Amino acid sequence: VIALRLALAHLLVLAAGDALAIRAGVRHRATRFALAIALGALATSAVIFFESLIFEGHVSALTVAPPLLLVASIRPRPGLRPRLPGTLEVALALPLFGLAAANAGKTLATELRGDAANVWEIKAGIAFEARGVPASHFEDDSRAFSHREYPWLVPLGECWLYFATDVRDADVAKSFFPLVFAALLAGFFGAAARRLDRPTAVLATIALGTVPLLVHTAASSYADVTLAMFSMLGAIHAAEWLASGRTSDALLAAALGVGAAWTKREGVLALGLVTATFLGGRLAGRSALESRRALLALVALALPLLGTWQLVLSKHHVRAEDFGAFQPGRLVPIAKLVLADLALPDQIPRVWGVVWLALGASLALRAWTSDRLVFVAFALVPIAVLPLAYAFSTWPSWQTHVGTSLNRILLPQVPTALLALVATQERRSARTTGRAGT
Amino acid sequence: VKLLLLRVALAVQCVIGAWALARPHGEEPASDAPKERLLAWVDANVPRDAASLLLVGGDEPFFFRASSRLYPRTVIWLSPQDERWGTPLPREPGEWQRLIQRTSARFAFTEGVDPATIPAPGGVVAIDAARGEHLATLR
Repeated sequence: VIALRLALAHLLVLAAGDALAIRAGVRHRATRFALAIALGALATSAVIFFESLIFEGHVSALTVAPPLLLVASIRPRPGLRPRLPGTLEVALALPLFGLAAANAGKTLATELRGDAANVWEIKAGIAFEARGVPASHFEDDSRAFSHREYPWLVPLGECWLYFATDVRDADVAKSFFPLVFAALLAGFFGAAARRLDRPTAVLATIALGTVPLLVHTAASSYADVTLAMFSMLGAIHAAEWLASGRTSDALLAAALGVGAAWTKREGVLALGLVTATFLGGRLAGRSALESRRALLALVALALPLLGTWQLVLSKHHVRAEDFGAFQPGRLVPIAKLVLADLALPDQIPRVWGVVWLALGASLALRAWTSDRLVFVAFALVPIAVLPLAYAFSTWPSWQTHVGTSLNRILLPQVPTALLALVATQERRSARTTGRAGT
Repeated sequence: VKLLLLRVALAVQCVIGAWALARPHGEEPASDAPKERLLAWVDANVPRDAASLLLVGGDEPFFFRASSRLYPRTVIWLSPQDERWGTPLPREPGEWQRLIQRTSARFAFTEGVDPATIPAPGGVVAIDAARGEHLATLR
């Protein structure tokens, strides 16, 4: 019975996300699947968050399901009927299904530990027990270790599964993450197939799905791979908007940027980069009107959720425990640590593979399309900016702070770094790829 | 040429990735099952409206897990060491009294500390967390 309820809970999230993706005009199956998971998780967590504010203590599967069903019932645009995949397409996709299945098995076999339990699942459990995010949680100093200032997409994604099954069980929570990993691969493949022939796009996706740190982190049920998914999909749709100027692409990029900021605090950078893309649209030939519409879409999506979240934090005087005064003397040592982490030869087989090496080498190639600029910015700006936070660290040893988290804050940039490599190839025309949209 | 270079880079990444993933990835940490059993026991036996519970001793991961597992009770970690998320362990009866008044704690559970030294007014659940054994309940 629990397995059936769990399957239905996942299906409802997928249906809601898919309805939004189709409504935005997305036709490519892999991209649609990725967006169904990302937008579904965003919608689900937003529904639980707002319901918690309105009727705290009474949120349940019965209150969360109707809004999701309503979203799932959004009708697609006329003429957008998906076609069935051909035999060759299915055969090419088999290795990707294999990677996703292997990750699912590894995730379910891995115990929830560290941040997966103490930062993310604990909040899911609290919201489940309290029937909604309880205001008292933000006042309870005994749980300061769980980082009350962190956003809620992952905990409420897990909490929805608890509501649906009516049990708080680690395996139920963990079932959230294999779908995220599958969405990461699918979204990457969708973008790669716009620029490469199918076998090379599959090869590129396997290259992503075998980056050692990505695979291990995905299986540990940490939120970093979820952030990677939102950041990558946000970059893809920001690039799509630069190419098309369509408001639907702007809405998708904005929603995915909001999803990134609602997953982890460093996701704000992805949202900032989506904003920068909209602001800089004129340089890539977009009109002022298109830029204004895109920015309006972004504000309309970001303000209700992220603005309300900031109000909640400020009402309860919640502040970050890990950061305090700026220590400029740490900047040079931090830069050295980051460079060593990315470039040391012993990191290649264990952590990153050749991702950063290949990206660094590819920067010498002169093929600066707007797509490639967007992907390079989404990959490199966070790497340049995020480690600066260690100059504010209040940990007794800031080096320990770096050692425990640097790889994880760099990890979400891996998919866009690989896309920056892929984008050294010209976009294939709609006629070649046989589709009009992503 | 660019496509060829890209394919080579991707193929190298796939080979390195597959090789890395085929290697054992460190040692699996020991199972938490015994600690889970003891938290289940505390959860089942200490009233849910007991506002605060004192965890005396134990380590940081155990405190995090207890805090999560025993919600809605608030777990206050009394640690002999100067831990970041802990409260110093009282050393004399007066300190215990002040702590109990401040936290309104009626119950305590412990790992590695003699339960007879803990003056919780409602009771002390003493458990050997390493073995997951319930040692004593003092009233």
